[in-house]
Amino acid sequence: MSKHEHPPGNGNGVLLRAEHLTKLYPDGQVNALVDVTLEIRRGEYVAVMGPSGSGKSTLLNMLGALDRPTSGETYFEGRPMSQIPNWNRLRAQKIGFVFQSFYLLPVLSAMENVQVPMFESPLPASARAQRAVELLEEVGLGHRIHHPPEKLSVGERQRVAIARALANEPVILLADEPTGNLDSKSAADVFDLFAALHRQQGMTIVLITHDDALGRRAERIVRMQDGQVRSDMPSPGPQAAGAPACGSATPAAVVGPPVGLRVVPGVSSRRPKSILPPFAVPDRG
Amino acid sequence: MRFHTFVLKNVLRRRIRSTLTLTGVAAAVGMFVTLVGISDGLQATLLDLYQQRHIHLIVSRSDAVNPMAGTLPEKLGQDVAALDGVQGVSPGLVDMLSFDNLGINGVVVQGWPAGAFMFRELTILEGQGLTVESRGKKGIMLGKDLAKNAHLKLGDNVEVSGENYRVVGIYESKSDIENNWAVLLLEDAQKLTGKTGLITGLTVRLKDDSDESIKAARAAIEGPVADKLRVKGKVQAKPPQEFLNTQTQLRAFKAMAWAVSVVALLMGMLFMLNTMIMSVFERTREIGILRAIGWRPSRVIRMILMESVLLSLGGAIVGTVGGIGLTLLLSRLPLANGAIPNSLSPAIMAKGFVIALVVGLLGAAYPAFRGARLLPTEAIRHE
Repeated sequence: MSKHEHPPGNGNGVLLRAEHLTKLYPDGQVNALVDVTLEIRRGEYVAVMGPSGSGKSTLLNMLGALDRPTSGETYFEGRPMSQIPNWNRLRAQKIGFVFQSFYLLPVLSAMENVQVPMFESPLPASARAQRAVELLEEVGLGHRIHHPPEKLSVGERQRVAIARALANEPVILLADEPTGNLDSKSAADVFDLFAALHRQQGMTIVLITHDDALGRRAERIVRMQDGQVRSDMPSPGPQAAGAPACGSATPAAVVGPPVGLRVVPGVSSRRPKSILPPFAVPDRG
Repeated sequence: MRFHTFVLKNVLRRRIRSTLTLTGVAAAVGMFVTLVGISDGLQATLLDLYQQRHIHLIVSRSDAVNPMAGTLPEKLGQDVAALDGVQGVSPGLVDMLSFDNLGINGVVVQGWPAGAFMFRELTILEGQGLTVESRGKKGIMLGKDLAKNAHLKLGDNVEVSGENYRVVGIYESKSDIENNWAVLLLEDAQKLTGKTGLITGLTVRLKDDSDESIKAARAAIEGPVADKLRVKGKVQAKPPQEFLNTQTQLRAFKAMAWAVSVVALLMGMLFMLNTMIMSVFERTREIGILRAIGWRPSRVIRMILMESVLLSLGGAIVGTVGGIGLTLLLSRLPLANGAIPNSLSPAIMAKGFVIALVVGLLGAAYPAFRGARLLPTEAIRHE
């Protein structure tokens, strides 16, 4: 069982609360963030959208304990972040990051890349390796564990990066334009993966996207402009976009029950062998 | 994957650069173990020789630049031998002479009086030793390596500084240096060098080797005995270790060995510093990512220091092996005259590794500090 006990769909507890966050970069007069107040509940799936320079990434950095606000406070599980002395530990244990450019280490295999964050965990080497294999199987890359990033397709690379973000069993996944460098089909697969993580493991996810159609697949959409939150409302759902979101993803696969989910005996129900819908499983690249 | 595997993979990433850095450290460590090893080895060999011969004191001229330069009256030997607690004395005259008919210059020749205990320390391989009966017969004994290198056999004639001598014996000493030297009777050596009635030094054996006994003999030789011969203040009696420590030539060689080694090691360190700074700079974004996914700054420091130490220890291995090879090669050169030991002591190799470790740690300290100070958000934005 996972170390963080949050049944899927539990939307009651507040995981992250940003209060009047303002960020002013010293080099420019531009306010990257202006008085942003926001709550992320446990198990929520939030898309942050907005034009370039609207403060999305700055906000994500504040939520992810990567940067300090000029003023305001962020509360992580009720604790003010300014009073948490060790942000490294917070990031290592509670937060998983996914980046637009994946940032996998080129000299390491997929499996080794997933193990990199686990150096900060007490797991012995053998357990780290085993967990990396399990995670790669979960993201549908069980057949690619020894491949270096250069031998993987961009979509596969991002799935390795997601497996890496999950390495230390975080309570929240923060993704900064995770599909920005992907073709539409790979982007859809990655979104399917986020959707499955959210739906089946109750993972709290905050992701930044430019893509309206993909953003609608989240439960809630926060729209930003000029460093401020312009709107914060439930997603109208992918159907509202008219045509299917993208690629081969179908609405049923996105919001419906976990069709065709393979649960392998011996592996926790929170950790199925693969959380990808069958259509997205292996063999591309 | 273990952390050290990760570190190793990072090092192997830039193979050419890693190889060059490793080579730089190897050259520095190789130079250190070879030069300092030879200088230490030379001193250790000489010390060993004195100790094997149970020599407790070496009496020489205190104001001489080198042991061959200063002279003392030959009578000093008899006066020292007459002291209480002295078991035996071997006066000697050491100088460099030439074998004119062979065109060999700078052969170290020792002159000992017939019957001196030093003769018994040589093993005669061919012919015989110089004794009282050899007086006036112009005989010379050659060390086995000298005989071999100069292609001299028993009975051959050697023109020593203008006078003909006959090879009467070929000896083997426990010291390779001495195997490259020659021995004459003291009076012959005095005549050839124009130092009649003079010696360059005395080796003294005491009846007991306690510190008190050595101290008493020193005081007597440097005091009353020297005073009697009117050389007070110009005579020193030192135990072998102390004597060797004060030898100007040995000290100069040692200082030179250290100076060259320190320069080489500093260059190795700068090489490492350059490599690690470049490595950290190139990986700025990567380090930012590692920090973002939870790595503590201390782990970043560990990563960089371990990479550097891995390179420097690799360099130490290559450098030490190279140093062993180079020392062996140098010791076989005829030019070495047996003055270069043919092996390095484990102590000098251990020193080489410790120094490589220090080079690695110091060379990587600043890059590691810089790497650890990177702010994740800024590092990730780095192009």
